[in-house]
Amino acid sequence: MKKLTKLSLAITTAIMMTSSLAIAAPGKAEYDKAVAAANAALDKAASVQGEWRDSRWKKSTFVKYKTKDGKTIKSSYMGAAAAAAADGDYASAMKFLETATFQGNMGYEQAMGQKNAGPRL
Amino acid sequence: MRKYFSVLLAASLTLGVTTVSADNHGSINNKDAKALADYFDKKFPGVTTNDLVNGAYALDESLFMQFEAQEEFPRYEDFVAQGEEFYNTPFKNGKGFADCFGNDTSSIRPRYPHWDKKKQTVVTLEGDINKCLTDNGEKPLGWKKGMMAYVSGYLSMEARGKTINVVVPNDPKAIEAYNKGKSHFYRKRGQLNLSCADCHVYQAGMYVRADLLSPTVGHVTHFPVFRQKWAGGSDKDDGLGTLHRRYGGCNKQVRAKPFKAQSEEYRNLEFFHASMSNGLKFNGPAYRK
Repeated sequence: MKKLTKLSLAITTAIMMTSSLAIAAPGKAEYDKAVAAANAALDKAASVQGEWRDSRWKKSTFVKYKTKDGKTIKSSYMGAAAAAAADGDYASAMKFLETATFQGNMGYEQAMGQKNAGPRL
Repeated sequence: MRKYFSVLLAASLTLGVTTVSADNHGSINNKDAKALADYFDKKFPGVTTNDLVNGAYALDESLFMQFEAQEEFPRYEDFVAQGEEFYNTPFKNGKGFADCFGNDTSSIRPRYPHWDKKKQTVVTLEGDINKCLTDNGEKPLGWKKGMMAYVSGYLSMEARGKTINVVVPNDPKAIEAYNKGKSHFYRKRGQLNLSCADCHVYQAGMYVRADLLSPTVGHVTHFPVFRQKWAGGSDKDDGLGTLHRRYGGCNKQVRAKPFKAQSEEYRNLEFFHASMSNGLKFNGPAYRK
């Protein structure tokens, strides 16, 4: 029984250590990579006039982020990501960047799919 | 079931009822305009194409009464007067707008938009207003509201009753610009995946929340428009805005990134869009919700 308990403890500890490595909080390096990827996706959408309003347009106020000092930033997804990163909140920043990247990809697919759009009277 | 009724054009806004003859030259834009006019003829029985210069108000009797009440003492009159004063004020170099546009103010608005063969681009009224200013050493105006809308409003008022006749010449570049505008109109865009046509062709006459969607034919006749929504956000009750201001607003509403006013994209769109009202009478500026 004592051996089993020691073994269980060893296995549990190993699992916890592995898990903590796997879900380590993102840092600036990951953030920078994600920003580059989001901008690439949005540039691709923009090249076919497919960019959406709230991805990175400077006048968008749709996305909200509450800073550590209680201010609410209203911006685009890229703007909110930058605000979160400035706060050191890379986890939130990565989520915003994920959405921005998704919107860039979708905007591009949408524009390409609509290339031959015409009347269907 | 929405009741549609035959509405005569407000007598004060027209010089007479005409039948739309969109297919007068068989040109690309007039064929498209006729196809749309025929589509709306079927969609709204009892509403003539000429009635559509009043937009959604042509489709609903109570809305038309509200519109008539607004037009009785139009809230844009003061702004149009300011536009007239600005238009008639000489530039610092002694010249004036008449040196650019000629003396007949009623003939200015109907010239636009048009294809400029030399510049190989679509030219709009607002574009030439600013060109006249800058060519004479004056500062250009903002594209969307304020004095640009007031001057454009004045020239539209002077042209009331004149017929829209946008010409797409048999020039490959002009036809390309027209087709780009047409493509913009029919392409779904933005996070809401809607095209101009989704609201203003296929769903025209339906409600979006409390707003009745207006048909494309007749859209441009009343610009610059006095919009209640814009007036509400202004401490001067200034609701006058240009067509490209509305284009940007519509793009934003479907959550697409808007283009800049007077960009090539919007000028091409105007080239197509205005063509769809060929044969109708100018009746701007006018009130809209």
